Amino acid sequence: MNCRNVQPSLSEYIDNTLSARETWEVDRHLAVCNECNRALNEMRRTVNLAGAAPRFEVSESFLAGLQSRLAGVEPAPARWAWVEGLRELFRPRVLQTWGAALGAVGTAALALVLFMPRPVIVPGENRMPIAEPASVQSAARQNLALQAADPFADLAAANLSAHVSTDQASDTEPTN
Amino acid sequence: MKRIGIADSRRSGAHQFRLAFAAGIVLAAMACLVVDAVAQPAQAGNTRPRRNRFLAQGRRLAAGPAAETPEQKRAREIMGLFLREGMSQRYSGEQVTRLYMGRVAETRQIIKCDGPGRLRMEYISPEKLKGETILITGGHIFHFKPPPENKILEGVALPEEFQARAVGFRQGVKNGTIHVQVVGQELIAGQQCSIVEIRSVSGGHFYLRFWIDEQTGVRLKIENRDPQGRSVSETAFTKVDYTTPIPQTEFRPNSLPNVPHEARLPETPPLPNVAAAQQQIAYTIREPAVPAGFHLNGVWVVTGRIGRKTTILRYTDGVNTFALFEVPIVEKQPGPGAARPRAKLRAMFHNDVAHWRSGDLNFALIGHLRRETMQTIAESLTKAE
Repeated sequence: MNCRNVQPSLSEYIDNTLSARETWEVDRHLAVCNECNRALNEMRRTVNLAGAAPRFEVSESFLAGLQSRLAGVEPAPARWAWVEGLRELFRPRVLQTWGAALGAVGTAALALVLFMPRPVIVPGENRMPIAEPASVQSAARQNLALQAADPFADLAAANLSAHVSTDQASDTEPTN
Repeated sequence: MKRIGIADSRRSGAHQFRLAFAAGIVLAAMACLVVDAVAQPAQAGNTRPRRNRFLAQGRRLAAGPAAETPEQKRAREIMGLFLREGMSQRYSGEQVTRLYMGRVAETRQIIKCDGPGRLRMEYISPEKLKGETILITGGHIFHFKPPPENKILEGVALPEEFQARAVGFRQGVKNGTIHVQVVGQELIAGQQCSIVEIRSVSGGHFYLRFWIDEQTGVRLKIENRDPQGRSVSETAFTKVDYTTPIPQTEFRPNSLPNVPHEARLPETPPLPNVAAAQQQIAYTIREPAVPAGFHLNGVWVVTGRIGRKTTILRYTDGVNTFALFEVPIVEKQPGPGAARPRAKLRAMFHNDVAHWRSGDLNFALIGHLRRETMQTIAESLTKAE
């Protein structure tokens, strides 16, 4: 345990309401931590001061009246209930959860977008099985020859395109 | 009593929640932006055209060409210079070619031209293509593939084909199905060039830009652009020399390395029609739904190494061409890595290639076409089963 865990538990430590294991861990920390020892001593002094203060005795009828008045207190009007609900949602501790959840959703969305396989052509295309790679490679080379007698063709671009196609089918045989 | 010590806890908790909350908001906002950016083009690509392009083009064709502007007249003159003078020039130079489809790819090559139908292209980079040579001479194309392939692919490149294409272009300009216009001037490899834009009025939406040397008529740069005006490929001279003579030996087939020749490119003139091709092959040739403005302008049958016969159907709109390759399927036993080539080949759709299997045939479609047009063609062949 460290100071951050121990200090919130000190009041329960004084009240002896911690479990045996928690008590043992707080003890172990206090044995080595001056700061928490100081905090414990200050807290004990405060408790002692509070305990030493004179007690005011009240009558039975006062307690009974107080209880009946507390029981008669009406709940907040319904129209403000949603405000309270919102406040509840945005309590700091709840916000921490919100932040983490948003972070997780954001990360998941980002991962989905980055790693999701993207469609490369109109949807119906993927329903068709692809051709044999060798036939595609052969077609790309034959297409280059078709461009050779075309004054409007870009022969070099056709050859480069054939190479790109061939690279993508590199696991296959050269031609048909 | 129990509240003592909680204040500190709240302070540290508040800091944590602020950090966590801010991080969450930032990540969520980033995710939304990225999702939006990715979704928009995908939606644009997947959305069917607002009106049927195959029908709309017929209307445009019927409307005929608009009155000729000075830029169009100048473009006709420049294109005439290109076809008349430019194709007959003797020159050498260095070119750079770039593909912008998917990954950017680049090559550099030395060009030697010795008049019509005599061209030699030697690759100098990248390393993988270095030494590869394309030689067009005597009505043939020789494509030397250096090791590990170490062979020469051979086919025909007939001057008659060349002439027919040039005549088709002139007729297209004359009757208004091809639109040409000068859109500017630029220096390429130190030569003053006119930039001519060439569009099919009734056919495909891709178009060409030629940079024609105003003195010699030689095309010093060519760019293919998509319907949005983005360059998909370009080839430009970085150096050009019209004066140094080129040895005639460079245009002889025996100037290429002495390696086996394989006649696996089209080796005959085109057949007159699909019926003539059908007589040579056992399977039934399937003809696609042809996009408006395109027409069949070549049919070939090519025999491959293992005896499979490929049918090639070539279509043009006067500016763009696309070719459909049909070859019977030879099934192989799938190996342990069978899924790998499948994933890799999907990426080919980023280029100007689409391929699929239907029935007993492999199909490959190569050409600058819109993806929805490719899809329509592919579906028409699949439905024909």
